[in-house]
Amino acid sequence: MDNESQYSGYSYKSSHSRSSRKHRDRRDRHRSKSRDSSSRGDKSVTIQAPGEPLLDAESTRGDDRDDNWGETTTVVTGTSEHSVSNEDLTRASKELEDSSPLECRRFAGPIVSGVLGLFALLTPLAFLLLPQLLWRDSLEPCGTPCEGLYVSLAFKLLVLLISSWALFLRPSRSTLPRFFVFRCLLMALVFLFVASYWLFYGVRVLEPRERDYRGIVGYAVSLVDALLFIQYLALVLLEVRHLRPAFCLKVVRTTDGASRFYNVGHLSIQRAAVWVLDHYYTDFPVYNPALLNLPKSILSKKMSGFKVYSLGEENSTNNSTGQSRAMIAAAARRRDNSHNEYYYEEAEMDRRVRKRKARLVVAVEEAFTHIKRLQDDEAAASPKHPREVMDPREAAQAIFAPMARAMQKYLRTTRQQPYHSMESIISHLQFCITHNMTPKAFLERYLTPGPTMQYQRENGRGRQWTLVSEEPVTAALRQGLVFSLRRLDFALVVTVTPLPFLNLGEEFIDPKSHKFVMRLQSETSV
Amino acid sequence: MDTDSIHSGYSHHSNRSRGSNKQSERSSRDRHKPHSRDSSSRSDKNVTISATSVQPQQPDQSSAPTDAQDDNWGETTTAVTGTSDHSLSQEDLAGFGKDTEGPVEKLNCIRFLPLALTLLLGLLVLVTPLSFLILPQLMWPERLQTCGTACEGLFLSLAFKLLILLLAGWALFMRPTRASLPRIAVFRALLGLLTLLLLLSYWLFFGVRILDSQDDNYQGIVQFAVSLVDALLFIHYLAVVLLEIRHLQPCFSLCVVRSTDGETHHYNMGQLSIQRAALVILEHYYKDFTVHNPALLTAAKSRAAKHLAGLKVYNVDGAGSDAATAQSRAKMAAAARQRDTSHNELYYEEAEHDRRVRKRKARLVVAVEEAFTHVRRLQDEEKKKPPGDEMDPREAAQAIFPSMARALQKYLRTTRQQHCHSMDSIQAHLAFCITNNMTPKAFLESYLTAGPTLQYGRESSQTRHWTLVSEASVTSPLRNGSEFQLKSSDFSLVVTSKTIPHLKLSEEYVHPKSHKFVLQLQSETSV
Repeated sequence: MDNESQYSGYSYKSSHSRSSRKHRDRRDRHRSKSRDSSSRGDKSVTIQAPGEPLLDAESTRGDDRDDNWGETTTVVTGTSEHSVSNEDLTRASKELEDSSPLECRRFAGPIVSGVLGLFALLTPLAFLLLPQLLWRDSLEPCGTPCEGLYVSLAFKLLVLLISSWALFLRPSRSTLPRFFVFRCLLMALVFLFVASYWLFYGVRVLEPRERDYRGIVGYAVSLVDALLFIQYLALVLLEVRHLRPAFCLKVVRTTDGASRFYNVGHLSIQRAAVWVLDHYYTDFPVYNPALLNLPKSILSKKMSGFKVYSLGEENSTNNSTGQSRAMIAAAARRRDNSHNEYYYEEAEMDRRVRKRKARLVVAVEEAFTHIKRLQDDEAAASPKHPREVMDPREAAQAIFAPMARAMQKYLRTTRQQPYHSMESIISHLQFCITHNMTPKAFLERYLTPGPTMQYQRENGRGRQWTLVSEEPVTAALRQGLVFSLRRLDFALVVTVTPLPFLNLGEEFIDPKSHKFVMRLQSETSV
Repeated sequence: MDTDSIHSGYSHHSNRSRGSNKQSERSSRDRHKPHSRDSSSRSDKNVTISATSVQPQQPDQSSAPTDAQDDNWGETTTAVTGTSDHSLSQEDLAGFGKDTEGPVEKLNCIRFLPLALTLLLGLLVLVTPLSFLILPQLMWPERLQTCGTACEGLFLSLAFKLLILLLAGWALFMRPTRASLPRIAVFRALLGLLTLLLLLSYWLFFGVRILDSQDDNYQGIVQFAVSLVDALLFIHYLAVVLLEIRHLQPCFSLCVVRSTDGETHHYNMGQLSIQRAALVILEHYYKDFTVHNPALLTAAKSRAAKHLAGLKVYNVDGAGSDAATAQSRAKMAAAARQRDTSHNELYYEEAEHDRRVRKRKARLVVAVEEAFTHVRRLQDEEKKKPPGDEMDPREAAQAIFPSMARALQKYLRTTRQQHCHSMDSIQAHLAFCITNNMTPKAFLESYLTAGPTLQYGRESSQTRHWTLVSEASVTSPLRNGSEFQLKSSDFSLVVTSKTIPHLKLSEEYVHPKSHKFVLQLQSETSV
């Protein structure tokens, strides 16, 4: 009965996905539903037939699995194609819009920063050299104070160079959709500052050919001082201001509901997005679409109930209200059986996983007893058996065979096969052997799902995220703000909640005030 | 024999408790006389047992427990009532004192005073250099020397430095305050004082050496103003180091335990005062600790009551005895005997509860999965069709909520989460999940696992008042073994601090080719 309802449920889902087609196709689907009903009757007869019932049941289940497998593939492919095409269209349009600006945007920031930094560094030197080149003979001689200022200027420029390198030339690990507000502010400030100095220099020094060289040197030193202070302002705005936590971000993954909470300071939406993604790759367990199949199978059973009931309803009226009521009635009737099936199916799944795990643990423990590290003294003492000496790679390959079958079965039961190839398992085994790890340490990687960074396959194509927000992404975080980070197959929904205002009072407790007495119960029992 | 000692233990305790009431000596003598009577009754019991006579034993056994129980009952009631009254009055006095000090007045004063002082100091910082430049121009303009190229360059530099100081001060000091601490932050006060001292020194120097003598070297005056701004920028740098950077390196490990359910988290912190550490811990509390749910503690209370009832039943058989040691032994024996049944009850009760929760969860999951199939997002190309069933997220949530309401209500009741989730919040969460294309599993996550306090909107506004209880001064720095509490209305967080141990990291080089292995095969012939 369960198998039949599951199968027909899948049929219904296929027809539902195709309902957007012509009405004629719908009529054809209607006929196929009748066929399914008749085939259901056939299956009942088959189950009740005598003569090797166990074998017949198994063969029937095999056939059902093949059919289900095909149906599942079709349904999943259809949904996947639909979503993929939608996102492909969006991406294509975005790429058309951004194809040339993409290159500019990726390199414009560093280029402008580099040019501006170079300009700022060369300006003091230009201020010092231009009078020497243009009107050396009319300059007043500059004695000891000038040379002292030279030394000071040199070291300040060195400090400025090193701090600029440390703060601004770090490789950018993310491409943001908008410019960084504070960074732009600082660059504008530097440009305005240097331009003002050049303007003043041109008007007051170059034109009248100022002869007070000491004043010119002092002017250059004050320029470098101000540049150093702008550097300090950059440090405060970019690195220090957001250290104090002000908001709590709740990050939920849309597919499986995995969620985490983070405290962040005053950030813009796009900076908060980068912060969240940095933590996503270390905190969230890897996204495994295979784990979502179980609810679908349960759901299809319920859908079959709907199909049966709506068939009768269509004969009488086409009213949508009636249809809704019929669906609700069908759901109420089917609910008990479905939740019971789900309950026992989950229990069975847990039991099966525990069995596979026990088998795997024993196999791995046994495999690790087959090898032993060769000590240095043993290598010298026993030259008789040079063939048996192996490097970690060979040792891993030697002991992988006994555990391979149990590992494969466990990974299949827990639907982790796409994330662990044979090559990666052997590499991990080699790693554990080299570093003297126990079998339990080796198994940890497979018994619990790890973060995304642990699975190499994800690294390459998992980095493209789209920031979806109702407010401009350069706006500051505020209470109640919601934005999402979308990828090809799922999204992270981020909700912003401000940390509450804490009113912290004080109370002094005398150490001697801790006094206690015994409490004895005395009740009358009759 | 054990029962006898239990009963005598009770009598002995009665004497002690009456002694603590400071009765007169005559009363104690009167108490002593019944004690003698008990001894005599005990000897009578012995004689009766030897004589193997049943009739006299029963009257003695029935009469003595009755008298003892009545006396104990009265004493216990009085003692408990007295203690309760005492503690209640203490708490009422404390609460009354806090209320009169005033959440309203205190909140307003504490909240705005630092901001006002900071703004005032910032204004003073901004005005002072400008005053230094303008005052000579106003007072003795004719005697000032003309300002040359270097002087005008200094003007430009001064302008930009003041702008930098303004922006940096805004970034560091103008962030909205999110907590009011019981004491002044020491480093912040120190920095304010240092700034004030610097300004006063500069004003004093300016008054004595420039105003009095009407100095005509304007370039020197401008240099003076520029050096003031430089010094102020360096004080700002010191502020960044003291307030933001000094405590970044962790040197203490704090263990935070919630007093009701024992939930524990550990945090590494740097050099902080106790009140600042308390603030950091509360910031983490709202993110890491699951919401405080008093309903989950009732089960333990009922089991404890059963356990105490067991002890009570055992005491009925007791007879008089003076030994406190015997009393303790009797209690331990009773507890050990009773414990088996209690732990069995706990075991099966927990198993039954887990099974019930799993069943409710299964029903809820199926109901929610089914509800989510009834609604789907309207695609753009479908908007051309007649808008028969078009809804916004709120209406869609209301449409599919009835099909899951019953299962969700039952699940929340079984897991005692009803008061954390109202009908409105569930519908709002449903609309939120529909809007963001989330799966049924993502919707259920809020109810299947308990989240932190901020997730439940009602709680966050209620529990923002905390009291810091500490034996050491709250402005003293953390040290090894520091203990303090953070009290809220219905629970407290107990914080213990330990120094992170000194780490000695040595080095060892391993040659990559030294990893060699051999197969270790057991070759036993089994016959």
